[in-house]
Amino acid sequence: MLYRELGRTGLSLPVIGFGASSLGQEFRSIDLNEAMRSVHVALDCGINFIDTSPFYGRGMSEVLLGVALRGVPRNRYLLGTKLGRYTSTHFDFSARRVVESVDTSLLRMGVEHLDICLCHDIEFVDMSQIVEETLPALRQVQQQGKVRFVGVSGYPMKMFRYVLDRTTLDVVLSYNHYTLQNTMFADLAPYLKQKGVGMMNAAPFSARLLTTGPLPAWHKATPEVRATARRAAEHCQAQGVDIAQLAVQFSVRNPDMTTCVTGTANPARVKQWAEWSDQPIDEKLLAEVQEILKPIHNWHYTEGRPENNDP
Amino acid sequence: MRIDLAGDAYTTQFMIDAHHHFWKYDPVQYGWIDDSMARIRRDFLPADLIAEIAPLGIEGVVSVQARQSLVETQWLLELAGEHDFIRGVVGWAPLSAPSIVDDLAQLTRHGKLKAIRHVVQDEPDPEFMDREPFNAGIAALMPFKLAYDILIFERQLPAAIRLVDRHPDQLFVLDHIAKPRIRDGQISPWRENMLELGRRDNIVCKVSGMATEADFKNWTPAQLAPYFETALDAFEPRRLMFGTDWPVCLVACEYTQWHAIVSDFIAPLSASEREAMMGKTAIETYQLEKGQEERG
Repeated sequence: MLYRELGRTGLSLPVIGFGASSLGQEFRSIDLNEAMRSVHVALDCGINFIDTSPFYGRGMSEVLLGVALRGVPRNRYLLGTKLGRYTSTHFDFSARRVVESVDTSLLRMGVEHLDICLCHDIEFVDMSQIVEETLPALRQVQQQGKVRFVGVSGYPMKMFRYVLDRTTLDVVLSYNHYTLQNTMFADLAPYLKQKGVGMMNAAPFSARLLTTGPLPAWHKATPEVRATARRAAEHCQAQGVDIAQLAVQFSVRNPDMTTCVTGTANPARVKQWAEWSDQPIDEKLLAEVQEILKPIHNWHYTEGRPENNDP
Repeated sequence: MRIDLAGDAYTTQFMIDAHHHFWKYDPVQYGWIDDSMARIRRDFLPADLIAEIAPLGIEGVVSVQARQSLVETQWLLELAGEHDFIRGVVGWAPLSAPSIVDDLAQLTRHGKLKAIRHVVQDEPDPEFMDREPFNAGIAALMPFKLAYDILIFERQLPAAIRLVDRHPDQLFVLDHIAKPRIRDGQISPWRENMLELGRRDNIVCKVSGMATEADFKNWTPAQLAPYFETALDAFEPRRLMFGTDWPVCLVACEYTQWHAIVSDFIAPLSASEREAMMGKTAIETYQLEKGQEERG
């Protein structure tokens, strides 16, 4: 596993991060043990950065991490969670809630500090509140030592500039914007570097779009996007390669992206991703796939408030 | 199901008793049942409760823990599995223990577990609800879609307010209007604290256990009225639920008598408010399923 520096934080993150949203699903008890094991397998593979949120499974992800991480020395992993989004429709970015939310996350996970805490999916609210109320409150919590580094996460690129033109951040987390199909997050690298902000990328498969698996029901991809992605996957398959391998290798090879967060409750898959990340990418196949995906390059959809979205 | 034609709208009313207990009496396990409560020193099982609810048209009940043991919680869930009219169980689990998540994962495999309760009223530590391990247990409930029933005496209300504030997304249920000092005729500071607690929107309140907070032998409905009015002021009918606390209520009040007293109290309310108090709030709070005969 390769590690990279995260902005000016001094933290060194593995190029693959463990996305614990996968622990937010409903489990049968047998799956539950597998899900817990996926955390340990990740740590054993050197994937020692875990990203979660009180939104994932309405807290289930944090609760299960608390169980999975019990007895694991705190210095063996870096832990990031988020605040402000609690269900698909319930957002609360008030200063008071910042304090309560961090405390609840600490309790659930049985830890005394968070390495990273992000304002979650801020494009769903009036972003002036994030700048004027949420982040100042989070900085106070940081002063108390409960949180080491703070930032924001969300879908549109516009939100990062909105916040960073008005205040400072230690880190940002973007998703679905640095993949085989969409590289818009990389365009933001010079701006973020100049501000000294650490870049974390998540979701190299764009919610299974760049896998051979079926898309989740809520996926926003249009029929054209789905068909094009399928052609790319089939092209890889014809060469005997899983497009997921290419997707992981593409997302981790850009040195500007400190880590690539991706999640599963399947231990075998965790191991597979770690192995892929250590292998060189097939340049020829990458060029062919990029050519196939060209018509839908940088295609994106709307999340949250329309005014917070990218043109 | 009954059709209510008397109110301000046609409403179909499902009545739920949101709070009662079952037990197989054992003098050691139920040490709190003292000589003044001799009447309830016997078994109370589903057949006994059916005899009480059937004549009143109450369709469902929520069974609440009375001992602090996982064995009792499992037993209540077994009873609920056997009886359709037991719509939900408020069980006990060791909230302050490191094993709590495993326990909750195990217990919630039974879909009728709806909430957890701890007998905080008997905890000698005045800051019990402020302790970290207890709060870690509370923080684990929401992901399992469980409510938390708060059982306290009125003097513990300020600590309960802190607890409810600390977990803004967790749904809480206040049992027995926080046991005011009806016996002493004392309403303050209970009233002020109830009004303060009622300002939180993540808590609802059970109108139950009131006669047993008065003098068992010499109480009157009029004596309870100011406490009921306060509960109404603090929570409004939509966040109140009718419960009997049967069989504990029997030391002071028959099942049908308590039902009649609450019915009188709520007579001036609108039909939809009465419907909320007598069943709808409980159904929504505890996410109770409809009974088999009502499914369609």
